[in-house]
Amino acid sequence: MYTSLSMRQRWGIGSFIVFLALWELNRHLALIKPDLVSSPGRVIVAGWRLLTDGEFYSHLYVSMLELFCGFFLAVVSGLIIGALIGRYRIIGSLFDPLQMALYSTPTVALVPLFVLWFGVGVGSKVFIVFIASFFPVLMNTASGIRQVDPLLTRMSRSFGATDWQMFQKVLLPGALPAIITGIRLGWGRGIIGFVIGEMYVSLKGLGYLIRTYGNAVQTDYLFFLVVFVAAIGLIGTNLFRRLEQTLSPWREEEGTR
Amino acid sequence: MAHVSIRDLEITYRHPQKNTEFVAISGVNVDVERGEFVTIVGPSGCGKSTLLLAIDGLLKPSAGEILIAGRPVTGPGKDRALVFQEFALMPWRTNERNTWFGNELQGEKKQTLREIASRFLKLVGLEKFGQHYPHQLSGGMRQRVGIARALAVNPDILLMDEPFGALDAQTREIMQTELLRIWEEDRKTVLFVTHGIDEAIYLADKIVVMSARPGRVKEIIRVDLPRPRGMKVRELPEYGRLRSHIWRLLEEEFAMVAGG
Repeated sequence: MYTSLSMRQRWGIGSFIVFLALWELNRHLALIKPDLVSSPGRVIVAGWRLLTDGEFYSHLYVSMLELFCGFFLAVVSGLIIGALIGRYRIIGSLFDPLQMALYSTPTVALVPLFVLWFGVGVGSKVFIVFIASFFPVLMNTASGIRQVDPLLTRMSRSFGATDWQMFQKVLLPGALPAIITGIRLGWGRGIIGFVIGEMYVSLKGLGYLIRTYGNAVQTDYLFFLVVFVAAIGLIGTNLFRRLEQTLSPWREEEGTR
Repeated sequence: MAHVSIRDLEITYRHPQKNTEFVAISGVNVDVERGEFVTIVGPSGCGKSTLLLAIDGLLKPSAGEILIAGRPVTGPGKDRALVFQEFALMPWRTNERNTWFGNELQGEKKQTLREIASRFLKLVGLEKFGQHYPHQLSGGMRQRVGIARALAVNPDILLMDEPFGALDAQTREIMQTELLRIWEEDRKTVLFVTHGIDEAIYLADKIVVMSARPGRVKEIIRVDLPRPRGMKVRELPEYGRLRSHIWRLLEEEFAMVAGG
């Protein structure tokens, strides 16, 4: 098991290096128009310029503000409503049609509407992030609670658990892996949310920068920003994966048994 | 007065969507005295587990009644504890925290919980595994945690639903002897559901043989084998006689289930 994993890792890293090399070579070989794809060297230089320029951080701040506010609201409300839906079937059926409709509508299409409601500033982006992150958290929480082994709920009833005790001591811990998965997915959606929102209309932010540099055909800056945003996504996703593994060590082992 | 008294018990399952119902058990009459070890044996689907769940208060009778020390059963209670075939341990809790679960629900303090868990894990021979998790244990060990958990709430009645059914044959035999050793310390009233005739005879003071569905009591048989029950008990002629008798009773039922 161990060797094949690091083999895979080696192949992955290897192909990535080859990719970078070809990309850099393209500047000289011009297989694809260099203006369109830039090169790793130029991207790094552009990145350096941005990171040493103070103004970049004011944009970063705005985007992170939007992301964290919207994401936090989504997680809190998603958990509460998700728990209610998961626990009480009736509430679930009440929400179902609304949920289905909202979930299937691509957030992108609703962005202009949200801007009309909340303006061109931070407010509308927070709302977009919220809507984008809310549904994965909600749905994973609800299904996580529903799929807790009924044997365990029966067992807790047998030992005299009240409804609240069962929720607190059996359903919630049992649903925790699914809940964290929902939060992890919400994070990714939230990032897409603020980027799209800012690209549509904004005064500041990473998406604003992407739009600006895109319009100016400054591909080196553009690539750097895209990688930067992707890195934010990756860091968050990895953190949540690690959290899930720490909180539910038994799942991995059960898989290998 | 009998400790557990089951009178004309009938339990019907109703299918919520299809609006059909089927009778799981019907007209069951059984008395269990205090300190008796009673095994319930019968063909698959005869309602043995249903009977146990009803005694535990998790299922409501559609007719008849269950009395415990003269009082009717209205729901689960501190006087009864159930041991499940599939163990029903919470994988996210250590064995120690699983063991004290029933006591925790009753609001015991942390210090008390630790003492209780320690005592009962020791009783079932798992004192070194308190901080481990269920998934790190074998099937037999997990069931011991289940038994420890049930005993920890100090029930008057121990209900066991095919507790060794998920274990391999060798572990099963070891666990049977273990169970009797633990039981001898306290001599609680036990109702033990099983598929196995040998198990039913080996453990019991009294055997309730049930018919195929709808489950009825075919016969109640006293077991006069000496206690403590060792390996040798299986060689006694009385054991063989009981075994043949029960086999014949169940043969009729198997034939019915198979559509004979």
